[in-house]
Amino acid sequence: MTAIPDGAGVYLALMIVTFALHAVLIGFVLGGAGYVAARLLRGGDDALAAATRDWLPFALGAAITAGVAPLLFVQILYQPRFYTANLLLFLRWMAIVPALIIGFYALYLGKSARAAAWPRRVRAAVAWLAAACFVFVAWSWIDNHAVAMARDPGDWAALYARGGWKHRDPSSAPRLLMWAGVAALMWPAGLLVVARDAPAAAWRRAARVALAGLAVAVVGALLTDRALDPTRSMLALAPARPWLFGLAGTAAVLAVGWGAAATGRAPWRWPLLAASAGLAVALAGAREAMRLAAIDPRLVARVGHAQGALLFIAAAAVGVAAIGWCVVIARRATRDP
Amino acid sequence: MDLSTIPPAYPVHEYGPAMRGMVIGGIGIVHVFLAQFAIGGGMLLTYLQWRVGRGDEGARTFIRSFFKYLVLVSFVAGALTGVAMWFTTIQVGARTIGLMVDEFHWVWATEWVCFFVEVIAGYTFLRVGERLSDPDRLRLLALYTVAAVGSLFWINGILSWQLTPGAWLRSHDLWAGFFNPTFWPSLGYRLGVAATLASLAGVMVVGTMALERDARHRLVTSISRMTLPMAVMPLLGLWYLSALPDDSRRWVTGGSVAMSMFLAMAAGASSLIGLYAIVGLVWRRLYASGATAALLLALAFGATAAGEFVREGARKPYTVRGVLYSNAITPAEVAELRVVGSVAHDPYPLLDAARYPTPQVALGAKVYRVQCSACHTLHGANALVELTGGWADDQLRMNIAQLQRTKGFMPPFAGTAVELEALVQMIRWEASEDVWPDPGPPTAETLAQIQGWLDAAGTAPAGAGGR
Repeated sequence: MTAIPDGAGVYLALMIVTFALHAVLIGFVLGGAGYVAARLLRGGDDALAAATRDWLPFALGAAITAGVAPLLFVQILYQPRFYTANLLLFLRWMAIVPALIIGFYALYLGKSARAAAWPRRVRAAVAWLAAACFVFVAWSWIDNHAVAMARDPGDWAALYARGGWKHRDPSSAPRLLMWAGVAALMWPAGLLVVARDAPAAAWRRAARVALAGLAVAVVGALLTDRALDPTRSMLALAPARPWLFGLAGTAAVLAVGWGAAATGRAPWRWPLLAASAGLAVALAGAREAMRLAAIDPRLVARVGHAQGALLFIAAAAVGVAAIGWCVVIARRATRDP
Repeated sequence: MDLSTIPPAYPVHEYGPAMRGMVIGGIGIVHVFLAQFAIGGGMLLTYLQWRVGRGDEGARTFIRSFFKYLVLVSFVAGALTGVAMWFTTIQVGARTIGLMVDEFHWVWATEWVCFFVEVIAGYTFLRVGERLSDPDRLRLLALYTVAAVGSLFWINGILSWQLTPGAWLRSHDLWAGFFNPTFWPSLGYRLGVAATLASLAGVMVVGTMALERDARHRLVTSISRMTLPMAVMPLLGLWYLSALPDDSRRWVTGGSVAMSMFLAMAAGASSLIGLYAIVGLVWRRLYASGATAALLLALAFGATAAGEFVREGARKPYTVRGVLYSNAITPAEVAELRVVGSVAHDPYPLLDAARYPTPQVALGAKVYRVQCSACHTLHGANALVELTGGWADDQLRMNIAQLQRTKGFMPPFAGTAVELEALVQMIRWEASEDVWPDPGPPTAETLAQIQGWLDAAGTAPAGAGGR
């Protein structure tokens, strides 16, 4: 069993929590952008697409901001591996920044009053452009993870000689499939917050998307596990087991909850939201459990002297209070005529 | 592959005719400009919302228009160029960013909290600002501003530490490094720039609004008051210069013509903007059109670029003064690398190995990649072939062996005599157009001469110590 190296526990916990937050938000963006694009392609619009389009820019801004924290903690836990993967993928990796900028502006363009008057095909093209940018970013992160976690870092020299553009990892496609499924699960969860008044027919459609997403995520996870070295299988790693139970439990709640909504019942808001958040946390935890062996204890020990943890705790408490106040005044303003 | 070699062996990429510093510099300047606009934008909006509370309805209209631009420019391009900064820094100086993360990750995490609050407060204002009461609008904009300034506060400590680590060098105490000698003047200067940029952008936005000339004029007068902090910026600049290490200050005030010119450009452009804004707009209450503001904003971008160039250049030969050289080798490692060689642990092959005519030239290419390519190219910007073209072979050998004496802003050569000779031959081969007489392996006399020069120069940097 791989133990957590001394000093790594706090960073792992923060990594899991902040990555889960990022995953929920980016899942809403990826799933929502895909839904909006698909609806436009099929010729219609609906209440869910309208609400999604309205909230996508905010969700992306929050997702990117939330993603900065795990980007920080990954540099503590896996610094040499993460940096090497960045460098090996080089221009292909750096391309995620312009892709995000293009995708971001495409979201704003898509919700603008000017775009509403455009022909449907043009609006669909804008929506697909945004969705394609986000899929590219997701794929790039997956490949970055695969390169960083190379079982034999000796492979890196060969990849450097070949060029990062030519990197192909057998686990990338199933991983992308799994995350696409997760995104299709997170998008309806987000709608439970931002589109509570959507009509029943729309919720039935959202529930069907969630159930399909759950199935795709399970298939993607199984295919990913098969693509990995048997010794790195999630089922073979003891630290991953509690997270697997968490995944199974939250997936069961989501299957039952969205299943009920698909039959026409009103969605069980809080259980579905809690299970969606729990699924994101369990996924983040399983991911860290699977790469625990990649943490070099000597390298984590180098940050043992770092001061400032209390400062962060205090700032986080004030920050949570400030964000809570923003939510309160926003709700009050929305509720009051 | 051992992941814990010292120095860490990271793959290196070159950028054709551009040196690596130009890449990070280019993105950095854009990001700094946008980020400072976001911070100043918060200050400006808070001030104008306060004026709304005192009956200035024109300010309310302006806030609605300006916030749209703030979101589209700052929340998207500003935030994402920040992410780009992180990725680009990894590309051009992985060890530097790693060291900064190791030392300051809790400060960085605190800065992230501020940034998160800034984004949430900003989007809350965007979505429901029109439906809030005036006192709540003022509170929300103030929260946005405090969070944005907080973000600058924390990041400024980390960035200024790179140039002036101060007492941290001895104690390794976080707060000694954070509140370093250039922290306060740097923070004050950046806040002044932020307020000015937002003010100029504000005048530009006024130019796009459908208002009567008088209403526009009143708005321009109100907004231009945000440029008043420019009055103290010369003092902050002098404070900053006085807090620099002596060698860095000499370097930017005459020691290097290029650096001094950039400093003069930054100071000159800032003075022109300040004079126009304070004397013309605030004191004489002149009217400025959107086109004038755009021109001033372009001038401010130039001043920002020149100022950032000076700040980056003043650190030479370090990325973290006294701790890490620009080529990601620490002063303490130089002595060991003089024995074992700088490329002994480098597992990455040359991407164009086939073009090198001899193993010696290929070794020189690897030495160049590890030790020189951070700040030089071979044929483009700051090109070694051009810089050394007029030197005789022995002069080239001696100048590289005694690099920190040749140029005080260069780090000492951190390799063996064999590596140095290989580097010399590689430069000569790159400089040759058609005919390159292979000198063959280095003679014992040549290596002894190089070793003598290396020993004479020692392994310490030219301006040892730090402030």
